[in-house]
Amino acid sequence: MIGIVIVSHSAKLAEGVRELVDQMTKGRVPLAVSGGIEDPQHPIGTDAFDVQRAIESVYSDDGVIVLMDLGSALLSAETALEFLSEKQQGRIRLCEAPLVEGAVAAAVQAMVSNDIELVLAEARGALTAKTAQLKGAAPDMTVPAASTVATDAPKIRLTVCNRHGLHARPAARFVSTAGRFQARISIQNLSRYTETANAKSINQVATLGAREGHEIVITAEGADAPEALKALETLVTSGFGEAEAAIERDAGLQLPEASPADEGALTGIPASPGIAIGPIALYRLAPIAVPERPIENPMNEWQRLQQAIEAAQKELHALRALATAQVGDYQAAIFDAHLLYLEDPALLDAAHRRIFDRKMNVEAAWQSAVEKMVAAYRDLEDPYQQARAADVIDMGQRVLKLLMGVVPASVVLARPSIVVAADLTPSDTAQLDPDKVLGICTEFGSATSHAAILARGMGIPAVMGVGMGISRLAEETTLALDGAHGRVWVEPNSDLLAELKSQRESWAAEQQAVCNAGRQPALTRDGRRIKILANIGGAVHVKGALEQGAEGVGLLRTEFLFLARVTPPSEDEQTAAYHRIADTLGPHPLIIRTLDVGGDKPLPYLDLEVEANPFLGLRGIRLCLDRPEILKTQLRAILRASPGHRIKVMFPMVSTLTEIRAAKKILATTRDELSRAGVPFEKNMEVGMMVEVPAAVALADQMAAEVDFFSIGTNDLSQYIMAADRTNPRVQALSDAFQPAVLRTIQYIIERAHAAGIWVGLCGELAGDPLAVTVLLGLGLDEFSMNPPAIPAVKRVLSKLTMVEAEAIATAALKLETAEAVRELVKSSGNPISRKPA
Amino acid sequence: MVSQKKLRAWIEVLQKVYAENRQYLIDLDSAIGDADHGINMDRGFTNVQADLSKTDPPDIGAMLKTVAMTLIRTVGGAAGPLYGTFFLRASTACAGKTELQAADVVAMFEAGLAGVLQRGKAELNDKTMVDALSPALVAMKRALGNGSDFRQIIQQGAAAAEEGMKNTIPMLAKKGRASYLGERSIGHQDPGATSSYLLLKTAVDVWG
Ligand SMILES: Nc1ncnc2c1ncn2[C@@H]1O[C@H](COP(=O)(O)OP(=O)(O)OP(=O)(O)O)[C@@H](O)[C@H]1O
Ligand SMILES: [Mg+2]
Repeated sequence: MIGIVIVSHSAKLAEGVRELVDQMTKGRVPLAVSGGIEDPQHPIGTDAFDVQRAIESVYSDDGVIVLMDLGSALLSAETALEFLSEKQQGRIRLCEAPLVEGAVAAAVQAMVSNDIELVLAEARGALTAKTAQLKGAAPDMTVPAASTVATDAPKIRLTVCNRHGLHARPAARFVSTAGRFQARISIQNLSRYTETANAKSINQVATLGAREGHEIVITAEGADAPEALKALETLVTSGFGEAEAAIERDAGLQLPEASPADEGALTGIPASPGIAIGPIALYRLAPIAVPERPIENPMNEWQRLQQAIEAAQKELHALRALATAQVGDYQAAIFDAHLLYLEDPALLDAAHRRIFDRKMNVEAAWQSAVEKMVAAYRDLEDPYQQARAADVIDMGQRVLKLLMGVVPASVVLARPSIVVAADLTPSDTAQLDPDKVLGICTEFGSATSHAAILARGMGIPAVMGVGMGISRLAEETTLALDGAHGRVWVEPNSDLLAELKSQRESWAAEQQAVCNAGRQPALTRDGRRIKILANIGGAVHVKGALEQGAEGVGLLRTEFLFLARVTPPSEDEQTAAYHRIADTLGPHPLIIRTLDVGGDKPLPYLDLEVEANPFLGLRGIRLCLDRPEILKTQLRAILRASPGHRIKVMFPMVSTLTEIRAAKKILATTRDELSRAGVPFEKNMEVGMMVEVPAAVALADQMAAEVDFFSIGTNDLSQYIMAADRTNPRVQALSDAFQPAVLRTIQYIIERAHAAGIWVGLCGELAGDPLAVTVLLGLGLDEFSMNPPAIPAVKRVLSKLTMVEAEAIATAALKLETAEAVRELVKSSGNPISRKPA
Repeated sequence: MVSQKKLRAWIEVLQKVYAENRQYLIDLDSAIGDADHGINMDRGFTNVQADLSKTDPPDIGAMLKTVAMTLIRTVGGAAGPLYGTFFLRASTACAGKTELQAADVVAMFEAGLAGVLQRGKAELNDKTMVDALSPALVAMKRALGNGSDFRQIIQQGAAAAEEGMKNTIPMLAKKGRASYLGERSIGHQDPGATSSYLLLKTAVDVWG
C-alpha cells in the first residue's frame, strides 16, 4: 500500500494530523510522522534524518507521499530524499497539497488505489475542493486518466479474441493486472472509436464495449511499462485464461430457443433447466427512497461513503466465500467484479465530485454516480455487457443499504416455493436456500445474467425475463415453470399439472439413466478397482456428486456451515447437517474435514485479525486449537452423526506432531464425555489428516503413526512447496502440481504412508485432472477425490490404463525436469483424454 | 594553504562565534522571521563540536562530512538543510585531502554554494544567505585569478560577504519565513546572510 509521511515543525501538529487521518482509515494506511526536533527547550523545527526514518518506516514499492508544512520542512524532506536509494527516490512524491486536507485525501485514496499519481491527484484536489467550498468555484477534478499518458509512449494493438470481449470478469482481470504495475496505462477501443480509458478503472474499461474481434490499443508509460504491456498482451491473447474458458462453456450452454407459447403459457428466457411446480413467494426489492438533505461538511459525507464501502467489501468477501462453498469458485468469482467496482476510481471520483462540488449528501451522490454508470452499461450494444448493469446496480444497492442502515430484504421461505421477483441480483440468488427454492422466475434478466449462472450452478430451474408484471401476482398463487423451454404457467389446470408432473418424472428418470452409466465403479483395464470420491461444499451437492458417479465424499468442506452468519453453528445444527449428508450417501463413506478458515475469510464471531499473509497465518487446525471450543463442538456433532454411517474425520493444515496430538486429545475427551452421557457414536471412526504443509511431509513417518489415513491437499501443498502464491498470476506456473518437486513430494508421502500401513487419498484439483490421474495411479494412490464434474472423464482414463503402464509412466515422470515435460510425457504415452472439456 | 588542523580550528572557532552571536542572530531573525536562527546555529555547531571531538576523521573530506551530517540533524531550521548541504558538497570537493591549496579552498566554497542554491533555489536579491555567499565566491575567484595570495583571497571574500550582508537590508524577502512578511521585510538585515558572513570572517581570523 502507498505510505504517507507528515513532516511538520511541530510534533503536536504532526500528531494531530495523524489523528485526523487515522480516524478515517482506521490505521489501515501506513502513516508516519516526523514532527519537531530533539531539543526539549526549542522543540520546533525539522530534521532531515528523522524525515528519512519516517519515509523508510512506511516505504513499499507502491510508493510514499510526503506532505510538509512549510519552510525547512520542504528543505528537510528534499534533503532526506538524497539519503534514500535511487529506486526509492523514484517512488516517493513530495506533495505540495495543504497538510491537513492533503493528508486526509491522500490516505483515503490510498485505501483504494495503489496508483501513486492518482493518490497524489486526490491530495492536490483537496485544495481545489477547499477553494471551491469557500469561493463557490467549480474545480475540475477529473481522474488523471489515460489521457495523461503521452502519445509517444509504448503501445500495443491487439484483437480481442474471447467470445464475450471485455465484459465483467475479463475486464476485472484486465484491470487487476494493470493495477499491479506502476506505469500509467490506457486502453482504447479502435473498432468503436472510443476515448482512451484508464486501464486501472474497471468501469472505464468495461464501458469501452470491446467485443470479440474488436481492435484495442494499450498504451503504457512508466518504468515498468514494457512488463505491463507484456502481461496485458498475454492476458488478452490467451482469451483471459481458463476462467474465461469456463464461462464460455457456461454461457454457451445449449439452451433451446424459447418455443412459441403453448396455450396459456408465458414465455421467458430459458435460464436453468428443470421443471418446478409450487406456490410463489414474492421477492420484492422495495425501491429505496434516497433522501436529499443539505450537508454541512462534505468531508463527513465522504468519510461515511468510505465506511460503507469498507463494510460492503466485507460483505462481499463473506458472500464470495459462501458462493464458493455452494456453487464453486468459478461462479463465485462474479463477486470479484463487484469488489472491483467498489474500488473503481471513475465511480469514486464521480461520487467525490457530487459530494464536494455539488454539495450532495452522500446517499444521493452515490446513487447518482451509480446511475450514471448503469446508464453507460445500458448504452452498450452488446447484450452480454448490458446485462452487467445488473451487477453495478447490485453493488450500488449494497452500499446504499449500508449508508441508510436498511437491512437487506431476504426471502425467508416457510415452505418450498417458486421465487418470483422483478429481477434478482447475484447477491439475492446466492442467499437463496436451494432446499426451499423450487424454481426462480423473474420479469427481467437474461440467461447470461449472473443470477442465471448461479441458478444453474445450484441446480434450480429458472425462467428469466417473463415480463407481464408477473411479480404482481398474489402470494401463494400456484405457478409451474419449465426452465429448459422458458415457459411459465399461472394456476395451471389439472390436466396441465398432470402433464408437467409426468414430464418432470421422465426428465428425472432420464437424468437417472445418465448417471447410472456413470455410477459404474472405476476399473483399470487390468481390472483393478479404484475409489473415486467427490469433494463437496455442502449438502446441496451430495446428490449431484452421486449422479456423477462418486462412490462417497472424500472431502466435505464444512466451511459452508460457518460462513455468512453472525454466530457459530450450534452442535445440533451441525449434527443435523452431517446426518443429512451421510444419510443421502447411504453406504458410501463421508470424510468430514474440520473447519479450515483463516484470516482471509471473515467470520464475525471468530474476530479474526487481518493478517498480511493469511496462507501462512492462523488457519486450519492452528485456528481450531487456538479456539478449542469451536473444534470441540464440531467434533461432538461429527461423532453424534456417526452411528450407522461411514463417517471419517480429518484435520487440515497440520504441521507438527504436537498439533495432531492436541487435536486427537480433544477428540478423545469428546468421546469420553459422550460415553459418560450415554450418547451413541461410532467407536471405530477413522481419523486422518491433510498432508499439505511441507513440515508434515518431512515428518510423514511420524505423522503416519498418529492417524488412520492421509489426504494430500495438492492445492496448498503445491503453493507451499513451490513458495508460490497460486492466486498470483505471475507465479502461477510455479504453483503447478505437475512440477516435478511436487510430484516427488507426493511420491514420498505415499511411500511413507504405505510403509506405515495406512492408506492415502488425494483431494486437490490434481485428482480430477485426467492427465495427472495416470501418474497418481502409478504412484500407488489409494483414493481419488475430486470435484464431481471431473468424475466421468477420470473414470474413462482409468478404464484405458493398466497398472503396469501407469507405474512405468509415473517412474519416468519423476525423472523429468519440468512440469511441461510431465504433461507431454503423459499425453504422448497415449493418455486417452486430452485436456479439452468433454 | 590550509592544513586539516587549521580547518578543524575554523570549525571549532565557528562554534564560539555562533555562541557569542546567538542573541544577535536571534534579534535579527525576530525582526523578520521566527527568532530562532541564533538558537539554530548555536545548537548546530555545539553538536558539531561534540561530534568532532568523538571522532578522528582521516581527511578533510571526512571531517566536513561529519559537520554536514550533524548540522542536518540538529540545526532544525532552514539553515540545517542549507548549511548541511553546503558542507556536504564541500566535503565531496575535499574528498581524500589532508591539506588545501588556495584553489582548493575556493573550490570548496564553490561546491558549497552550489549545494545551497540547489537546495534552497534562491536567487540573488531574494534576501537570503546566498546574497552573502555568492558575492564572496565571486570576489575569491577574482582574487585567485589575479594571483593574490591565500590571505588576500579570503579577506576579499569576507569583505564581499560583509557588503552582501548589508545589502540585504533594503531587500524584499522572497524565500524563507521572511517572505511571509512581504514589504515588512524591507529595512532589516537577513540573519542567514549574517551567519554566512560570520563563516567567512572566522576563516580570515583563523587562517589569516
Ligand atoms: N530557500 C532558501 N534558500 C536560501 N536561503 C534560505 C532559504 N530559506 C531560508 N533561507 C535562509 O535561512 C535563514 C533562516 O534560517 P533559520 O535557521 O532561522 O530557518 P527558519 O526560516 O526559521 O526555518 P523554518 O523554515 O524551519 O522556519 C534566512 O535568513 C535565509 O537566509
Ligand atoms: Mg528562523
